Amino acid sequence: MKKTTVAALSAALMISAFPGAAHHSGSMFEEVKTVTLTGVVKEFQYTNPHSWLLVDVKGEDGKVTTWGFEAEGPSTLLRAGIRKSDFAAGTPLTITGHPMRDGRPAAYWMNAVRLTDNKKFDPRSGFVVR
Amino acid sequence: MSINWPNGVAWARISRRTSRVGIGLLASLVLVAPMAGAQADPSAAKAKMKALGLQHDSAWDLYQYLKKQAGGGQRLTWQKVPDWGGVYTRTKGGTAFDPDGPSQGTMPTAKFTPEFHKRLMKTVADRKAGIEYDPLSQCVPPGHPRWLDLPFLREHIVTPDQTTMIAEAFNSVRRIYTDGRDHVPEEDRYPTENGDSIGFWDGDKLVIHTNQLMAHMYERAQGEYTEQVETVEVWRKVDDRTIEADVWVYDPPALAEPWYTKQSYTKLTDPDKRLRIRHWACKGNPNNDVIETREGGSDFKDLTFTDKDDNRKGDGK
Repeated sequence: MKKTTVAALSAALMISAFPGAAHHSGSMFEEVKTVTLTGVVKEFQYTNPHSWLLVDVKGEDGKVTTWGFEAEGPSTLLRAGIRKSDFAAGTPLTITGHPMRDGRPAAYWMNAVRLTDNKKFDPRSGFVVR
Repeated sequence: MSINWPNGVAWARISRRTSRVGIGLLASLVLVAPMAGAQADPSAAKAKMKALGLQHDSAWDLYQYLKKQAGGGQRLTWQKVPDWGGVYTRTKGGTAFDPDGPSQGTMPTAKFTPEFHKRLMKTVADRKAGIEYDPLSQCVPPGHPRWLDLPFLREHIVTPDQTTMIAEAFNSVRRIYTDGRDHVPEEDRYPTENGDSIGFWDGDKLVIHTNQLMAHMYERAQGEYTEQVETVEVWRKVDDRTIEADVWVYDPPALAEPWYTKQSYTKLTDPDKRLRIRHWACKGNPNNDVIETREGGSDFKDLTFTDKDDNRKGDGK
């Protein structure tokens, strides 16, 4: 299941689309497009400098595509309350991100909802100073 | 006469004034004499600090001036070591070099020389067009002064003879020697990412001069600095959770005038003692390998989970 939304975001929102990335620019991702997918976790690569949540998504033709959602590394994810154990393989979820410009199945992870308990996960909240 | 730092703490005493620097400073002090007003107005405080930078031709001149005003500074004793413990992060500003300036992606507050201004304008325009590349992508360390705006976690270890500042990103460590030593002799100097830092204590303030740095960028679309860049920093813990640093950057080839910024770092609350600074592996995941495109943008080299990347490998690309 795939849904793509093109939203006219404000300049302020565009700037904050890729907060604090120390390692690389977010220019490979679309700033004004978002993609929302529902699938199951294949693997959570809880790594530096960035983490990747790999999600298997079944298309209308039955073909499964693995999508990768990039987020910051473990210390920022922990500050966002996102632990490696939150996304064990097989966990169903709906996830939203900024897709890549070149069409590869990858995106910058904005937020996710774990469907087993409807818990929300926003990796970017790891930058909130508290 | 006492110089009041913008935070209201007596900074130093002027025993005598010398040259235009002293005269200029006196003029600025007269302008901000009613300090209560200045304290309530961050922009006025910032203007005063900017003026202080303008009154000195180089970072070394400013550092020597501050040292003189502090009577040479004091050697810190174990009894007076301030508590800078805890895990900190940048308070505000994202990764824009000036946390009080415009957001990253718009023109920063620095006044660059024509050549570097032109280069900055291009990066700002390119960023808006989705074209941007950062050498950090290939694990080139950020170095100082970019070190000041790195995101993620930080810690500060203060001892009488040395203060060590650690940024989680790139495991970047700065060592500030406060044991009275001078910089490395001229004949032994070579540029490094974090340069050579010496400093002194003036009460609860740590004053630092850093040179022997490498050219880099302040941040993406925030301008560049050269190997001639030098900085003066005045660090101070202003409350239980906040450490601030007044920073002046001098870099004649790139900056038309010193760039003053006020950096701020906040101690994160950590009731469960979960926060740790652990090794930050720049090459920790092949899916993070980023290359510079022909247009000057960024792209993932090969993502390991896509058919498209599998095909690209097969094509030998």
